[in-house]
Amino acid sequence: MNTTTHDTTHADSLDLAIISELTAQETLRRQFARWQAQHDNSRRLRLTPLIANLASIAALFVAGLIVQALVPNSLVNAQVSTMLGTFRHDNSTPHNDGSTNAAADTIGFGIRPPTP
Amino acid sequence: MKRWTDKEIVCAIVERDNAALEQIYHSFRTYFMLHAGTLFAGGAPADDIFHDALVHLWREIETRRIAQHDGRICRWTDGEPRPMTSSLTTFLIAIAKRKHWEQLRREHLVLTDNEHTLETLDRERYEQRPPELTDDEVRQQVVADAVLRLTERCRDILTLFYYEHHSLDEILAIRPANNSKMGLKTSKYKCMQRLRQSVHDRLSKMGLD
Repeated sequence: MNTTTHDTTHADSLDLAIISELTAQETLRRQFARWQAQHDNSRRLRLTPLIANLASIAALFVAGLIVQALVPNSLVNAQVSTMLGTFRHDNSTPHNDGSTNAAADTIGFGIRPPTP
Repeated sequence: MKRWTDKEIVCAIVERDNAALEQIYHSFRTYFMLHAGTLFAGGAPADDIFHDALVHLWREIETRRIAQHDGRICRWTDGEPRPMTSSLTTFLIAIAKRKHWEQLRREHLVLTDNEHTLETLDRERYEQRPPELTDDEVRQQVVADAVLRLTERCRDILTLFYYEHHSLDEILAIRPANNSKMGLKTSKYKCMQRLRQSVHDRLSKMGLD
C-alpha cells in the first residue's frame, strides 16, 4: 500500500470525523442556548407585570404612611368637619315652597341626626 | 413539569420530536441546577459544564450507542446490548463530574506544563475504560473529547469556518482580534493541526492509531 496515499486518506477521514463532530456538537449547543433564552424571556414576561403591580401597591401604601405622618390629626378633623358642615348646609336650605328636603337633612354621609 | 422516563427521553431524541426535546432539556436543566451547588464546589461555571455534559449524552443517544432494547435502556457494545445500571440523569451527572474534574486537571496542567502527568492521566483513562467499548467507539469518543477540549478561540474560528461556512475575509470582519487574513489562516490551520495531533497522540497511547 502506498503509505503516502494511506496517510492522506487517513488524515482526510480524521478531518471529516472532526468536522462532523464539531458540527453535531455546535448544533446541539445552539439549540440548548435558544431553549434557555426562550425560557428566560417567557419567565421575564410573566414576572414583569406582577412586579409592577406589587410595586404600585407598595408605593401607594408608603405614600399613605407618609401623608398620615406629615398631616396633623387636628387638621384632618377640621377639614372633615368643614366638609360635613358644608354638606349639611347645602342640603338643609329651604325650598321656595318652604319645604325642606328632610331626607337630606342629615349631618352628612347619610347619617340622620338624633331627634331632639 | 412533566416527569420524563428514560424510555420516553431516548425515543424523543431518536425521533427528533422537537416539542418533547425542549421539555426534556428543561427537565434535565432543572435537576442539574438543583444539585450543581453541591456537585461543583470547585467553582466551575455550571452552565458550560451542563451543556458539555448534555451534548455528550445527547450524542450517545443520537448515534444509538444508548438505545432501547427489549423494553430496557441499553448501551450497545460489540453489537450486543448491555442494560444500563443507572438512570440517564445519573449518567448525565457522572459525565458532568468527569468533565469538571478534567477541566480542573487541565487548568492545573496548563499551569505546570507537566508532560509526564498528561501521559499518566491518559494511561489511567485507558485502563479505566469499560472493556465493552469497541475500538471505533473509542476513536469516536476520543474525537468527541478532543473537540470538547478546544479552546474558546479555536472553537470560534473553526465553528465560523466549518459550521457557518464563512470565508476567511468574513471571519476577519466578525473577529477583528485577528490582525490579518494570513494570521487567521495560520490560526485555523494550527487549531486543526492541534486537534489532529491530540487525537493521534491519544489513540497512539491507547494502541488504536
